[in-house]
Amino acid sequence: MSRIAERIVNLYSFGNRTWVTRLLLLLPALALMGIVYLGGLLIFGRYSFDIYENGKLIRGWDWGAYRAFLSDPYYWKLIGTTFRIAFKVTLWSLLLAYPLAYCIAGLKKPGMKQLLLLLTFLPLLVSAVVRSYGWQLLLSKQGFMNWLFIRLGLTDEGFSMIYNETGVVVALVHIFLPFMVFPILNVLSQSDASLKAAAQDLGAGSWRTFLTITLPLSARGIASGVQIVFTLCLTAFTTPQLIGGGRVMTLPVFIYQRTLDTNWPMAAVASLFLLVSSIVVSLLVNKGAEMLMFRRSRKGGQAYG
Amino acid sequence: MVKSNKGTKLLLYIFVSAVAIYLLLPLLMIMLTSVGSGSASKFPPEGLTLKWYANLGEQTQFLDAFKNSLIASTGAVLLALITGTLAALAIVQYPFPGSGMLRAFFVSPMVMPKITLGIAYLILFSKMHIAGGLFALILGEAVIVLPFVLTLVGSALANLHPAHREAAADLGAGPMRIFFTITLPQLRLSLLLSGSIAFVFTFDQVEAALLLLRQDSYTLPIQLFLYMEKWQDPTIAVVSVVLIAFALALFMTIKLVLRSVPGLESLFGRRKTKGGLDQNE
Repeated sequence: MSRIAERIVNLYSFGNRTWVTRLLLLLPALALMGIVYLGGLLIFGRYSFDIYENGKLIRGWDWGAYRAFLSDPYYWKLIGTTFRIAFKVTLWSLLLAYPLAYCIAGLKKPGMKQLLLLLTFLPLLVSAVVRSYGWQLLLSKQGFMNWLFIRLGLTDEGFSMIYNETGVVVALVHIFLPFMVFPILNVLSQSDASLKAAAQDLGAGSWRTFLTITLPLSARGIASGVQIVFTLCLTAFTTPQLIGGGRVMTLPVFIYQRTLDTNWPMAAVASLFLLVSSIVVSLLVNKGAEMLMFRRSRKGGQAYG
Repeated sequence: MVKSNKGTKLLLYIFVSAVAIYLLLPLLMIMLTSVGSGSASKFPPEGLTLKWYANLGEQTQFLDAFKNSLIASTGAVLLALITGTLAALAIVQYPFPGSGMLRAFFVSPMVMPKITLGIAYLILFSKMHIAGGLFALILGEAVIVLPFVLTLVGSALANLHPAHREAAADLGAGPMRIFFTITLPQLRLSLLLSGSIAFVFTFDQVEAALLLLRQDSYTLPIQLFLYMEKWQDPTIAVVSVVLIAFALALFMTIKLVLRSVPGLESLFGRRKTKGGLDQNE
């Protein structure tokens, strides 16, 4: 890479004209990102130090919103709900996505494979609003799910599955499942089939092959899937708002409501918390996967050596 | 060959079929509701009717919202494609100390909670007195989709064969001419791909648009979102069906275009052979 880059630079640079070219190329993106993104975030961050009293904003430098956010049990409950939902959704997505990805990776017929791939990625193309609407129809008191449950004799009356956490989890798993399937499918279809064959030649059964070869090999895919889905869930707004109907309070929903009553300081502090948590979660999952891979490769090295 | 247990395999297929049904069920339910008479959330529907489709013609707010969505998405994607491609050129072809940091900065909107960005935009654009309109949304969404362009176009640029550019330069072409006759045509696939991903993404964007837009500039997801919060009649189902059809059409078009361009597999990273990887050699 760097050798090629060097050649290109030598090819194109005429003294310090390279710097001019570079700057001209970067200028549009720098202007856009500098003003809209960085500018927006800085102004927004500045508001976190303002004071909000009786529906009015007072300019100032105050840690009040931070203090309130970190000391009031109400906010910890909010954080708890947000993380619990993200955890449930990630776990369920993994449980549903892994067999699906395993099946797609193992299919030999291109037709079936294409069909399953299309099924997996079609929902991704349909707006989250539309899909949440679909789940509202399915989960409502007179909806399909209750009709099915009554038919099966599981319940007489039917019950509402929207406006509660279960509904939000069911819909969110649907929304984020493709993000779990894709990374797992990617590592599964790239992993070496000869390793599996070798394990079976050595007498391992299909379950043992799966547990000792396939599953560890897909650790990296699982890690990035978990990372993506968990952080997307922490910051998901549309589905909790629509399916939760204001009764399931997660951090993004809370932030939205604080914005509506112009409580910028609290919205800013909660957003900051959300951002920091998703970065920390990403780092932790990455670290965990690395440690797992490292242990495995060291053990593997000894075994093969 | 891999031997596997017949029973386990059957279980796997049953499980995967169940997941497939789970994935399709909401979309099927929407389609059923769009042709059902009676209230939206009742199953089974009392009868079949096309009146909601006819009704859609009178709901001009959805058509306007669709137009707004098209304008906003197209604008944001074009802006991101232009700024992103230029920036990728600078970072990949003219690397400099700190270019990695700059790249990380440009890609960082990806991990930023979208609701945070939405509020940041609202405050910023209110100060700039452009909040409420589509122009503000285009600027804001361009930032959100810039990472797609930068990542895809950047990796395509890094994989380009330098010999072509060198040959062109030896023959006396200037950097501009090399870019337009050599580099740009080689990038068309990743431009198309990142452009379509970005388009699908912005078309769906709720968080940034919900807070930013005024009523006359609502985009389609926003119009649907607010309509859903208030009413629940099957008109939304009809609009949703139209949107699903639109998504399918878009998907098919992209697929067709991509199929007609050779060498796509290497871009997706699937079916990579050892030989196919060494393009930089």
